[in-house]
Amino acid sequence: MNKQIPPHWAQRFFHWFCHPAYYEDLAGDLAELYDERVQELGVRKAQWKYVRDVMLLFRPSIIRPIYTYSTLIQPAMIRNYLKVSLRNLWKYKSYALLNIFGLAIGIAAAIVLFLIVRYEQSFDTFHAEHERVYRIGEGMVAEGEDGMHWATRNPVVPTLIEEIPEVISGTRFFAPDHVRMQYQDKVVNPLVHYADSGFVELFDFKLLAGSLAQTLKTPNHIVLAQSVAERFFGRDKAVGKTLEVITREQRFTVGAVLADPPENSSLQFEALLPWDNAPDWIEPEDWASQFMTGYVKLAGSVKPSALSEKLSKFKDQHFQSERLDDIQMKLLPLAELRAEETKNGPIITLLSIIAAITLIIASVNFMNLATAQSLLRTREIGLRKAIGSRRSQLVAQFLTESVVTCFFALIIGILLVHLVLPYFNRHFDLMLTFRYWQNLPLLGTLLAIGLLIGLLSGAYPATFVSRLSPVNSLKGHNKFKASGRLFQRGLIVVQYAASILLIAGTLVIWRQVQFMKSQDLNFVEENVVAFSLWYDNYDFQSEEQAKSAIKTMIDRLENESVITAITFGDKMPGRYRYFTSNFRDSESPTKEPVNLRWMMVGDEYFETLGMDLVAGHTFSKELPSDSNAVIINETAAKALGWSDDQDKFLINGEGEHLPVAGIVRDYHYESLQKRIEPMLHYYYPGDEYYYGELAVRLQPDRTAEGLEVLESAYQSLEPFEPFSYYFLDEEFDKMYRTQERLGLTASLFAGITVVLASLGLLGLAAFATRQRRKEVGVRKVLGASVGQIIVLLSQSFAGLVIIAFVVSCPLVYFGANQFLQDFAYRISLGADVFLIAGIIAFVIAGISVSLQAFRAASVNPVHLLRDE
Amino acid sequence: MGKVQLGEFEEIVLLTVAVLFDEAYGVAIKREIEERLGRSVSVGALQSALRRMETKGFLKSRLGEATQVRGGKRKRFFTVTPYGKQALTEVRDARLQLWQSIPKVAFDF
Repeated sequence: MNKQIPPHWAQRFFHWFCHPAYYEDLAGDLAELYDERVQELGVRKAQWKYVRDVMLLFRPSIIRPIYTYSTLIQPAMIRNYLKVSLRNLWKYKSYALLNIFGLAIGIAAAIVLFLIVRYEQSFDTFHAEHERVYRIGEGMVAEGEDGMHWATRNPVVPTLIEEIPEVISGTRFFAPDHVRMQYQDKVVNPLVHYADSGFVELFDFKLLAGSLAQTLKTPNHIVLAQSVAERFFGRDKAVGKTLEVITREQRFTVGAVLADPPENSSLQFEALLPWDNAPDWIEPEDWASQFMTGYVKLAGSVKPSALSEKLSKFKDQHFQSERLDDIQMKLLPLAELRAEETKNGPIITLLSIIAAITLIIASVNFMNLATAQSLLRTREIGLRKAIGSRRSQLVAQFLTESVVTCFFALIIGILLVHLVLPYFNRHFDLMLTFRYWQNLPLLGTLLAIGLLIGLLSGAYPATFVSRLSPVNSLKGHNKFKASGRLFQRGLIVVQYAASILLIAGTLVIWRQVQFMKSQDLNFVEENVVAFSLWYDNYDFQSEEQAKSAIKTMIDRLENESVITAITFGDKMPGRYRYFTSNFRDSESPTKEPVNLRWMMVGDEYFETLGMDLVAGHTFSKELPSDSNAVIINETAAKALGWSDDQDKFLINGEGEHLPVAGIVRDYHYESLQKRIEPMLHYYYPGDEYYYGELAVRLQPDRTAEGLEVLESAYQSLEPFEPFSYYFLDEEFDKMYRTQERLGLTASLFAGITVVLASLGLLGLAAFATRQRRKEVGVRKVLGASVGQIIVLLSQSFAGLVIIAFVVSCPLVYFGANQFLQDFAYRISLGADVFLIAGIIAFVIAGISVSLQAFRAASVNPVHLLRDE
Repeated sequence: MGKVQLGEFEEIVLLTVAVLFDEAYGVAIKREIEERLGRSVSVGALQSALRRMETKGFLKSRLGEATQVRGGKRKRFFTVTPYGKQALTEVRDARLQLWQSIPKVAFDF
């Protein structure tokens, strides 16, 4: 007999794949052949032939069938795993509860954030070909992306379609006026947009009746949204009916009815009119003014970047502007419109990151707790192994347990989402829905996530405890290996670092918001009420009549004691809208013109709002020279290089010389997120010009009375719309709502991560104190006090939190700076933010650890040392 | 004809099993074929043919006694079933018929 044996790996491979029923005789045959060959051909050749035979046996008729592949996946065993899992959950109730709730909170948080992100990303993507649709914009080259205004000039869309073959279709989309419609006795003021017939090819709003394309091609036809159609015609057929448009003194025939634009559409309208019916003041060849929105659709796979050269040429050829080279034309993909309009792109990214962190922390915790808890079961494991359980079966048992726990957590997490979603929708002005039953991919993802977390977080404890040797585990020796401990501690560090990051983030956001709210706006924003004064909002026959009625109203208001001052402007600070023009300095007309923002203000604008002039005088009705005078702000003076306003004149685009009456101290007319830009105020004396907004300063503490007076004055104009007003200070506060929401979200999730991290630490502490029970017993017998033991047991965890603090500091620094970059006026990042976050984390960790330590320390040592 | 499907290699294996009668196990069959036909047979091909014919019912098998050789593994002995015999006969008859139908001149070179 030759002692040489066939290659070990080949034997094992054969054993692995061979059908169990054939294995014995086949292995025998192979062995017999091998022995024979060793004698005939020698060991090397025999081994080679053995391997060849094994390889040739690897064929379907010999390979074991899949279903008997493993003993793990037998129905009976699965039932057993499940049964034991449930028994174990029941046996360690408090532990299971802790574990399930911790994970459920994590899952719920992640789902809610996922829903928010998905909602934001669902905007405008329901149009079938949205990837080919772009909004046209232009901006200053020097200002890059920030300087883009996504608006265009009237002839741009038709000319683009005509001249650039890649632009296959497009539409203007613009709501220039207030439109009032009547059908029999019903009057409605819908939001009317004018659109080209290309609208049909770009957007897929659901057509309910009629023909959209035909209607937008035919003048004096109108498209109604379903809600408006129902207000006019109830359940009757709308198409074919004729409406009276009061504001235009024209009649329109309903040509189509569309479903109301969905919530997640950036394009909102209640009626569409053909572009042919657009108001006369929009001149077809007006290449100079940029004020309307326009959308184009590109051919096939054309990317906007491929068009940049053509757009640049187009702009040079057509645009009427003095500084053509500074302007660039760009296309914004429809899917990015929402993020562009709300500027919440970074927030969405942040929320996704928080969602991922929360989920990871929750799973890590779950893993930590499961590992710690599994050590309580070392005897069970030892016994199972001793009576013949395979390691793979133990792994399967533990995995089943963690998957089962996970599914409980998933169910509770989903219930939690249902509980908190209405609250979320209310506080964040969202329309989130969580309908997973109709949404199979979502349901599948949820289940897959549950399974994945279960498997991943069960994997570590499963492999870890199944490795224990039966002898040791039966004896009760279950010391962690150093590597395992390191791993667990690493997880704790990660969790606390994330918690500190979120706590610090919350602090920074809140402080920035508070800073912006408390910052002096350089005018007195309190007690100022404003409301819209567009005279086509009122029922007047002519402009003259409107003006005289408004004049009467203002005279009436001026006599009220509750009102201390009145002024006009096209927009009040806080609601400023961009208008910019180029101006030249009359002393150096050849120099580059300066681009200034401008607004129109009425009498006593600066006095009413409490703004200080650093030079010159405010506009005065009495001075005839003031009729075309302007007042600029300090920044504008700086931009012009002026130190005073003595005999200064600005030349506007039409070549008029405008005397500069004064320089106003820089005041904030926009959110503090934005820098104060150069601003120019035109003067329009009140009796010539009533439009825009009326602002009134009320006596302090007499707000209610003042509002009553204003409302009755407003009603005297017989308005079409109810009285809607705003307070300037509230308007400024409202601007920070996005940041406040962000702060609220951050604090909420900071809270959740802290709770989760504490749960994880609690589990680890419970485990560690259990490991050191005997030590605690001996120490107590030898005279250690409870306090000393608590310190002893808590020490190492304090170290972990300190490490987490050190790790998180650079992250906090980087993240906070990144966030603050967005604000022109911002707080400086102090060391206290780091300290407060660190201390909060430390105290919470301390409480959760010392509770455990106290429990261990206060036990009678007799119980601890009993089994020695 | 056409009732039984028996490949050329299967036929040889089946015949060899019959030849060896009570001693037909993997290695013996392999050896027998190699000796008689002078062609080498791989264990894989042979075994899969055996298992295939066993499922078809041409063969049946039993496990022998354990011995000291071959690592204490038992041998699997194959015997031809009556159905297997019928298959063999059918194949042979078909061949014979063909032979008999050849006109003399065809082979008259």
